[in-house]
Amino acid sequence: MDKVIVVTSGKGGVGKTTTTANLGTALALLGKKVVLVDTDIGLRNLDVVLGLENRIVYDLVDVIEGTCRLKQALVKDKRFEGVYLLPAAQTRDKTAVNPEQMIQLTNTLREEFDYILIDCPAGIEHGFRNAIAGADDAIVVTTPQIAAVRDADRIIGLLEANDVDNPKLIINRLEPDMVRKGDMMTIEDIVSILSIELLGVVPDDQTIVISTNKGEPAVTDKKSVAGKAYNNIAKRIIGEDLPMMDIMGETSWFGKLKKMFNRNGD
Amino acid sequence: MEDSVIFKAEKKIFRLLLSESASWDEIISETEQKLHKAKAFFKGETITIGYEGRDLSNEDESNIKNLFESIADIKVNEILPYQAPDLKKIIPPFGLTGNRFRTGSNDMEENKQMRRITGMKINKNDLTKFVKGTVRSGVLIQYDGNVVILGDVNPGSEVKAKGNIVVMGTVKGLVHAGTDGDRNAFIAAVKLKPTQLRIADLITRPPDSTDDYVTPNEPEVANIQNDSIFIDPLSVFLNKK
Repeated sequence: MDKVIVVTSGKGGVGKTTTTANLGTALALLGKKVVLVDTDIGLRNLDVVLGLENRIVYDLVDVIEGTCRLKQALVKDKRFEGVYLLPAAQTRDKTAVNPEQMIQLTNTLREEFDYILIDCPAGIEHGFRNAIAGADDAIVVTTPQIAAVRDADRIIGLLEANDVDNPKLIINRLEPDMVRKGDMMTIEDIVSILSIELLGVVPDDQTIVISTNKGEPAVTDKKSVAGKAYNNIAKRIIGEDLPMMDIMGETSWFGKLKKMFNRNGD
Repeated sequence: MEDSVIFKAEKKIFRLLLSESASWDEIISETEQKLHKAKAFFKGETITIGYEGRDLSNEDESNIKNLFESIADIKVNEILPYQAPDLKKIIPPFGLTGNRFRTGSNDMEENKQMRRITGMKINKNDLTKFVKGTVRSGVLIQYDGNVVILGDVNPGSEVKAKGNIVVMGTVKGLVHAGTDGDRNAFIAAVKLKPTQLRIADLITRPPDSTDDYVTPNEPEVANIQNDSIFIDPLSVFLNKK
């Protein structure tokens, strides 16, 4: 994938910020220099999820208005080599920044970083337009719920209309048991509606709640399944051809046995 | 054995379909049975019951009303003979012809074929707009002619044409043909699973129960017959004059 990637969804609460934080950290663990840009001005969360809240001095709006230099605003994560945060402003609103300014900013960032992940706010208005302005590529995050998929479809249409082509899909919070029972949309259902390339599936995992509260991305937790999924997605972003994680348990010996019984109508 | 009592909960009225031939005792006992089953579902609701299928005396009506109130904890506003609501106020589900007359292609002479093709009313708006790709949620395609979509029409999107609409994919959104009142307009698609279909001044939606509706293994065409929108399998549509 290209350098400047916007992480968007349309729907709120599906995991954009969690995805940005985890993918950013995972990419850094793979040796890349990554800056995470929070464009959710007024409702910033990326700093919290990364555990860097207390270290913010300057923010995105300060940089754009020239109050400070870019370097002064970047928060370097002391735990992981290669992770930098450009936080959003909390006491301003989205109109403090416009798309042209975002393009200038991302161009400056390009020179210094291997990857620039832009955490996009929910919605399709000003904040969204700011976030996608400088993007080369997009990751659309959705959960396996009809409402979320509807919004994702809308967002994909808007991305394509704004020349951000070939967005990639992450399905977040999949619950294999519910899918098996028929209570939740399947991966195939979602991909067939959205018709974009699937980058990865992240299973629903309680460790995410814990990790976002603690400010420690799940990718560092060896016991976190979601963390593992994010790590795999990061590898795919840098070009590794990894097979999808078998979340539905279909390819395991037991999974195949179960499938066989289901087919016989038992 | 067929049911003597059928419950049909609709938006503004609770329909009670009663068998004409069954005995009153059967009616009462079946109603009781069904109420016991449906208890949890209706608890605490207030309904108006519209009954049909047989005449009920005031006493009968009272008895039924009491059953509902005592067994299922439903408050009954009134109970009266069912009257179909004003058609204009509801959106009726599609009519399905369901018949699949397959014309044996061997017995079709070339003349007949030609007549069938040229016999179709050519829409006065012959201009056709081609849209390449799936129409995504939030997108509106509007045209003063016919529209051909090479892709799906996703839920949340709208395709409106003065003429006919052909979708080389699945219609999952809203499609409106004949927007200026042309009731001869049709909507053809590989699969019709719309949120709503409109032709000219008529609106329709998919039936509530998907049990009665079997998607045929051929393209479908929505068209107006007898003041309603019907969906024919393509082969049936082609056989019409």
